[in-house]
Amino acid sequence: MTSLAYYPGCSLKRFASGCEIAGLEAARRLGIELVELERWNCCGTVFSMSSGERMHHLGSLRNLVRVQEAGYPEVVTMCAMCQNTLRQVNNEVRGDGDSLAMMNRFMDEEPAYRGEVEVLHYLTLLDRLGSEAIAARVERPLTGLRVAPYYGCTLVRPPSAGIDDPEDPNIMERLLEALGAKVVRDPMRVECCGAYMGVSKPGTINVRASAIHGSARNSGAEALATMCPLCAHNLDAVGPAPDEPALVVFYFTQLVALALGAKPEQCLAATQRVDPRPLLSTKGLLEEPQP
Amino acid sequence: MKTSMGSGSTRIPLRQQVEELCEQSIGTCYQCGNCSSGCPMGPWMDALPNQLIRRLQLGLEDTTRFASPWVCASCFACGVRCPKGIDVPRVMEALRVVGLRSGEDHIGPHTIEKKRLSQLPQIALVAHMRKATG
Ligand code: SF4
Ligand code: SF4
Repeated sequence: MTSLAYYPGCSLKRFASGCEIAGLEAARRLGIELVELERWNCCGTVFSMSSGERMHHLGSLRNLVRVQEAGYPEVVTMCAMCQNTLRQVNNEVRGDGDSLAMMNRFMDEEPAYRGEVEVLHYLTLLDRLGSEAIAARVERPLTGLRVAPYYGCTLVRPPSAGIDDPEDPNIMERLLEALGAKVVRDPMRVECCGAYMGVSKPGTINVRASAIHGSARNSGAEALATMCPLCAHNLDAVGPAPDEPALVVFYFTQLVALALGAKPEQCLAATQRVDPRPLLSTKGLLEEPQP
Repeated sequence: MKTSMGSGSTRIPLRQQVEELCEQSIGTCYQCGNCSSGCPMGPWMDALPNQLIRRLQLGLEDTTRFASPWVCASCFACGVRCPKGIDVPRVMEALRVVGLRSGEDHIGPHTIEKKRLSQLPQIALVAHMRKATG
């Protein structure tokens, strides 16, 4: 069993717990133990892009200090937004010695951050294992399930914090193929769902979700797969306009856990508004895996 | 509370403020419109990203009056797609920072209906507060 440091972030402990439960189970089945940091705090959610706002990066940096203290060279995140923010903050202090020194002075009650921790997304971790190694562990192939990966923004942009090509990513496609699913390439897979704008302009999310669901449906998908709690909220909990059909929205980790043979209860997020069970049941994916 | 410091006559030009905050020059923008054509929030903006940049190039100081930076979802798409390598999301962020420095928040818990507030995930609330409050 390989052990790696794990940073969950706030959402995975609350409304996106389904992502975490399935993700930890899938990792365990792949021989990876994700060790949650003993102490962690909010990453800050978004990266502050202006030169005058560096103080906002302290939240992320403190988490990187926690990883350094625990003696791990890398830290794994499942949440796309946490990965993005931690990576961008890390990149900034690593590329600029003055900035690192200044930030260390701001948090002088902490041990100085040396800038050596690598932030790793869960999908990158799986991809490193390789499709063949994953395919070899599949107990319940997702045969016939037509899934459109939905990357959204923070998994792929900006390129310095992305886990794959910003305009033509393939990492989820590769992994889904290894799990036996039918991959659907949706032209809107890297277009934004509206992100946090649903807070002050609620109607915008329905419009974005309609476009994204419609495009995936027209491409032949039965379900969307994402790694972002905010995308999942916008595409599923908010969803398209009420009179329009909505696809099932999965956290990618749910599909991995299901394919690796986890019990369906570990793979079904309680928060999913569009119930995935009818779809999974028609594909025979709620049954015990064949030995 | 509104706080103001300094006098009007010593005000730094808006373009200079923006360029310092986003740590890049916007002089090379040739108005191709690529940033705006892919902007997911374009339909709700009162000036598209390329229009804001043109206004800044022209030195139009009233460019802070547009709502667009507060509608921008920081999706980073425009930055990836600009053929001149301008990091447009940072320009939008700089415009937000200039606006916030005038002391006015653009969202707050009091502006959201109680029932909705309880349903919104914290990831959305924190992200939006971080972008639209000082
Ligand atoms: S994409 Fe770049 S060059 Fe084209 S209008 Fe936008 S900022 Fe200007
Ligand atoms: S970062 Fe903002 S301005 Fe740029 S494309 Fe996205 S929403 Fe539009």
